[in-house]
Amino acid sequence: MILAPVNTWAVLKNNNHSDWRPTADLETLKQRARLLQQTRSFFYARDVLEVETPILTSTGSTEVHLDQFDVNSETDNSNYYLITSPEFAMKRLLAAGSGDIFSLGKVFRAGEKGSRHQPEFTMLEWYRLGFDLEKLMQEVEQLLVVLFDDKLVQPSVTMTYAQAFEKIISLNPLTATIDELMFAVKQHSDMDVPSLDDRQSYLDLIMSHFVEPTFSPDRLTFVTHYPAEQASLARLNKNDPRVAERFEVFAGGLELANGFYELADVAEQRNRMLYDNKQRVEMGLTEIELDQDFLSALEAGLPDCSGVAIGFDRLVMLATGKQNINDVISFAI
Amino acid sequence: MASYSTNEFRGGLKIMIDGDPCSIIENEFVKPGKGQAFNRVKIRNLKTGRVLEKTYKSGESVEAADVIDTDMQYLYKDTEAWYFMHPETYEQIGADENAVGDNMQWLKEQDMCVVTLWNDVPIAITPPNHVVLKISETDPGLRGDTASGGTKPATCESGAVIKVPLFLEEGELIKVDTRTGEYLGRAKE
Repeated sequence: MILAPVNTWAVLKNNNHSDWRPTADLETLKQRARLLQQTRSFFYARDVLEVETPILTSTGSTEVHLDQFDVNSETDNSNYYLITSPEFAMKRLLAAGSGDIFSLGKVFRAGEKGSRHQPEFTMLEWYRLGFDLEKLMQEVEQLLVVLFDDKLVQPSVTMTYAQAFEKIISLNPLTATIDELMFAVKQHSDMDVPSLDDRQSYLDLIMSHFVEPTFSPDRLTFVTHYPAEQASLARLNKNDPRVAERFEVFAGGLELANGFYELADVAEQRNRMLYDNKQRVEMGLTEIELDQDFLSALEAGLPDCSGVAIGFDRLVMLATGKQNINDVISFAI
Repeated sequence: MASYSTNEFRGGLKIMIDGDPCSIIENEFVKPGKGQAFNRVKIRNLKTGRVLEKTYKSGESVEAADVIDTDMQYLYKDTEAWYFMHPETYEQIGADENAVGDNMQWLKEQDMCVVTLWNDVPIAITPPNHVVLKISETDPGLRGDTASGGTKPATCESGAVIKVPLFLEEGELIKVDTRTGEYLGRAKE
């Protein structure tokens, strides 16, 4: 027996008007413009140089959990990528003697789409010479206080990754085995969760599903001392190499910022990238050619600095009270 | 076998979970900036009606459920099933008690319903949001009592028991919201 399904598409197709209107309302776009301007003023007043770096690059990022867009052309046979972050270019500027710098620009991450994600989004990233993480976290807070006026309750909360984790799941994330983590997830929630192959993915699952949603909704939460395996481009802690000099900032469960005391050791950096590539191969992903310009810049010498990246669209979401990223950008894809 | 990747997930998509067809109610993409991405979904099991939460690793593939919603006219019932007819092809199909469930109380002959088919077998029936039913049994009406705001139970021709105002009589037609079971007003033939 064959039954024709109710065809709603036919109805829609007959309508020739596409929805061309902006996804954000005009009032929000005006607020966005104001926030951009306030952000720039904040850094200009502190003598931090605004820089623009390329969004089209010939080498990519080896990060296993970032999927970058390949850019191809019918006439140009070169292989290009859209950047997932301006980090490498900014560090080349730092190594070339730029001093303190900030960038407000577009970055691209394939496959990231949801109420808090768009594959194209605006990243605010800055680097401060001679700053340790403590000082940089203070600066992040100062900026956010300026942008959110009275929307934030002071003081902010600061806790280590292990403390945040242990409060919700009574396990130490630095020492727990994969079996312990798996068991703890089942104990904690009756949510049907996938079986994961590695410890790190379990940590990500627990943080994103169970820990982050418990953060205070009206304050900033700074999480410090990320596990060394999640160091990314941060130095390891001198006293406890099981943790990295990395912090993240949350407003409620919304991840806003990610900061590093920047790794300057070129040998260590190369090893981490090679390790990423090894993991990529194991995961069936393509190996990414290492960015030799970036590594050469580290070799020439990256000044002692800390840096942080903030999802600018999420700042606009918080400042305007919007729940969906599409509501704060002119046109969502 | 057809399947969907998690990045095709959206509300209304029909997927198989543990052998049962399910419909996605909500899909949320969850990803720590530098970490593993997940799709956290709220789903309704279309056989049991139960709502559950489930998390997938982003990029996973999930088997598609061959589920179609079709507008069909309710005809009659016998001891085994409730029968529905496709208005254009005149094909008839019987839905069993598992598929009809509590909605049996709203079914009135000739009303258009949505029949949810899984692999061409009915698994759920959705009656119209509003139905007009005849009261088959209720206590005698208190004529003129339109002000007291009191209610009494009335049994309708389809079997539903509705709280109605005191002035209504057996044989009268009433309009009812099938989603809430609430009396909306009197109706004409």
